[in-house]
Amino acid sequence: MPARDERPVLVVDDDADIREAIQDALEQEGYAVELARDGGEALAFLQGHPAPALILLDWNMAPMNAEQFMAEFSKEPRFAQVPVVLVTADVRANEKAQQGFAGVLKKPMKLEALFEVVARHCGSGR
Amino acid sequence: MVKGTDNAGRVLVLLSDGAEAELTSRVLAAAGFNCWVAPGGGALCEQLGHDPMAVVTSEEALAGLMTTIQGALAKQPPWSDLPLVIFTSADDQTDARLRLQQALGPSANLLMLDRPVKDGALRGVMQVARRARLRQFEARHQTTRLEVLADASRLISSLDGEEVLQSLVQLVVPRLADWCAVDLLDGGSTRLAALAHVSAETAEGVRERLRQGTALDRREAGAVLRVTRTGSPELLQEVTDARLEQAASSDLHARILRQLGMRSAVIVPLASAGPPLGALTLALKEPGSSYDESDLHFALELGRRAAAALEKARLLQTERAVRVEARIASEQARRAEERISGLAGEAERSRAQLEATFQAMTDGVVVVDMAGNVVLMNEAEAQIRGYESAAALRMDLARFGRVFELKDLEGKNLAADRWPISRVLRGETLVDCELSALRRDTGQLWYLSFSGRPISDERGRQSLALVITRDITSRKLAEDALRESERRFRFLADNVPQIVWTANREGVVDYCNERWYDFTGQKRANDAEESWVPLLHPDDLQQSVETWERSVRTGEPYQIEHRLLDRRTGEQRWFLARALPLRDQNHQIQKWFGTLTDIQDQKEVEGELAQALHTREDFLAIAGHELKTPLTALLMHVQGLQAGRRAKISAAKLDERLEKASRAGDRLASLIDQMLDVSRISAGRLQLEREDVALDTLIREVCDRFSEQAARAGSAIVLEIQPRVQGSWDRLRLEQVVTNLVSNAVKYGKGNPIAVSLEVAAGRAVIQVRDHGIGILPGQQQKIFERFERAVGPREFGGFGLGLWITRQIVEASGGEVTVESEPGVGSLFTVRLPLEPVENRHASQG
Repeated sequence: MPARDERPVLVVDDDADIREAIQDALEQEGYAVELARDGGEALAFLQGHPAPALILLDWNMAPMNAEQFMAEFSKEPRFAQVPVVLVTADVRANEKAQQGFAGVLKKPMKLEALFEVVARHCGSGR
Repeated sequence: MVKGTDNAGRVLVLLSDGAEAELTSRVLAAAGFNCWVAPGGGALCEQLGHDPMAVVTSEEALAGLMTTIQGALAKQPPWSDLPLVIFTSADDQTDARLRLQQALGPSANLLMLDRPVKDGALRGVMQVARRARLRQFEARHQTTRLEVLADASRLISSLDGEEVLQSLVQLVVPRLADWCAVDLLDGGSTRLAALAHVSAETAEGVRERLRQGTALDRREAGAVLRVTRTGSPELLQEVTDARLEQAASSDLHARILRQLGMRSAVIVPLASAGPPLGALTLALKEPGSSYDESDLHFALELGRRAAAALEKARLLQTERAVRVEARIASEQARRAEERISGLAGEAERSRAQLEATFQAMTDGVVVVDMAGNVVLMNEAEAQIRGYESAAALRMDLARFGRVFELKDLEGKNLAADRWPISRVLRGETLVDCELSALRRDTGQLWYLSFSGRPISDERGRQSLALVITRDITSRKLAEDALRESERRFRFLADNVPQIVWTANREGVVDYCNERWYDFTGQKRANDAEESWVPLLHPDDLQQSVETWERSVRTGEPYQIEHRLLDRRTGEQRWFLARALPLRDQNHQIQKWFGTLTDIQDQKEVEGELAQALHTREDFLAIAGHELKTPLTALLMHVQGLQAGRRAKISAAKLDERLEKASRAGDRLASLIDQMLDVSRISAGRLQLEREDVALDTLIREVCDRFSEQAARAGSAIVLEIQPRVQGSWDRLRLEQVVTNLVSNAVKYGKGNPIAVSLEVAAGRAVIQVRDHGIGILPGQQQKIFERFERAVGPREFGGFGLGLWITRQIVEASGGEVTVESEPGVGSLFTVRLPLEPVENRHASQG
């Protein structure tokens, strides 16, 4: 288990409740959390802030969905280090796993699954 | 006639005394007698058979010869009485005569002369003797002539043809001529037809010459031609050389005459009843010969006989030829007769065949003359009219005319003068004149087809009328049955809702029922070719035509769906076209029976159904997807709570989390409700339950409910509500609308104030909800009212979810409309206009 990463986890989801739920769960585990409402906001955050440890990316978002986000995201060399985990309720998620994601979380997800993925990339919580 | 060669002129002298002999012969010679002094008795006796003129001798000279001479005298032919002039020296002449008569026999013709013989006496006796002797000679000639004539007659009666002439001339030679010829008239000249000569070689030589030359054919001046032409005979007693030249017609002729030898000649015509047929020539060639008048008469007679013979011969020839011709003719006649009887036999057979055919015909044939009498009638004519035979009908003809009725096809009775037979008698030609016939006595009813025409004689005038009757009853009944069957079919076809059509085996439509004409809006026209092809939708045209053509070609059942232009509305409608072939006993296609069924509504329903199914699938897919979101939040909160409780977090925090969980649960419930609404509305099950609603109160209540949430967000709700706005609406649904709008305003208000207003304008209630929030992109402003499609979740539509779609459905179902004005970064204004009283809409729009 790598040492705990201090950098935040960026949670990108257009549903406020989900953002909130994930934030609560992760913060409870001792991770720092940043929020973005859609791909556009996520990009804006990335442009203006140091790179996060992990991006949890929802698939279905508006105005900019995950696919569009990834298109922009992969253009930036300095983002290449940042792992992106896809979070989606879409059954076809498995097919999209090929598209450069570090992992996939299926909604609704078990907290354990969430923590496992985050820990893998950010180190364990406290 | 005198022939020079014979002794007929010679006086034989036999005297013992040579001097006496000498003297005697001198005296006789001077008197013009031809003398020959015999050297001896034997020599004399030899000459006695050669018809000498006379014998001059003496008693002494005859010594020792008496018996011989007696014998010779006794052998004389009957006509001959040879004068014997005997010199005697006896005293008694009478005595001497007696002695000599006794010695020489009774046939001795004695003339005594006493010695010394005086010259005068001798001359006188000799002349007497000569006269007598010449008469004897003449008699002989005459006999010969008669014999010849008799022979000639015999010849003539037994021979025919020109051979008789040859035989005839051969009779004449040598007895009466040295040569004899017959020349026949041939065209304008004569030709040698027969020739006989004492010398056969000479004759042959002359014939040969004639064969080679043609000169004798042109004997204009010749005696023969002259005699032939004139019919006058010519006696050329003494033919000198000059006369010979005259008698000849040419040098050749003259040469021939000389070859033949001509010293004396007789030329006579071959006299017949008509002109002479030619000429007969008798000629003597020896010097000293001559013909006389009697010869001429004889020759004339012979000539007549020859002519007769020739005529007879020619007649016989003609007769024979005629007989031959007659035989040939009779043979030909016989053969002709045979042929004729053969032909007659054939004719009879043909006639019999014709008769048999005539009687065997199934059509009736009758021929009548201009008076109306039946000339010919076959069996069928009677049988068609219900009689057993033509004979039976003939017998009953009068009665038949009374009981037989003819009607035209419309049922009108025909008067007798309009009957086919009457019309043909008037010169009309009929072809397939169809009538119905009735026999009143038997009740028999038929359909008959009459054909007929006038028959003219050789002058072109009508002499007969021919009428042919065909029994078409079964055909007509079949036609009637067919028509009836057809009528029923049409009746049936016109009473079904589909378009029914039939086509011939080539695939050309020949009948459509009324539905077709209803559809096209055109009138039924008997000769118009109906076809659906012009109405086909261009996209369906090719396949439809190909499919139909394939069916027509192969007999496969036809089925296809295609669109046709409905001219009544100008719209395309889907039709199901089907057709099946009707086959006859030989499995050949007779006709196609087809239908066109309007399946537009069905298609629409199918379309809707398909769409609905599609929608439902989408819906289910999306529902599943979408519900997971609030569910996830709920579950996470609950899990978080579990974890939190374990982690012993503070009660306040626990409450907070519970609150969040509860809200998430609410959201889930709400989303489920929305989705059910969408489902319900999509299925057309939005039913508005109207009641009197005070809209102003309702709005206030909703805003009240949101006040806390709004406050939390920072968006104060400012109301401008016109009081007492009453209307007839579905309260719950209206509440749903207002809630949706206000909820959106709060969510997207960005914490800025929200204005909610209500007023009545132009008979409508106008609700407006204005926020000063993030606004909506122009491209999105219509989309937000749309329902999800194709797995694009409701949150795609600017995050407004299904609410606005539901809102619009409800508003439009209530007869109103909802619109938005918005500017990103400035805010949005939603306006709902509702009629106060219900205005029924057909369906909620499916937008």
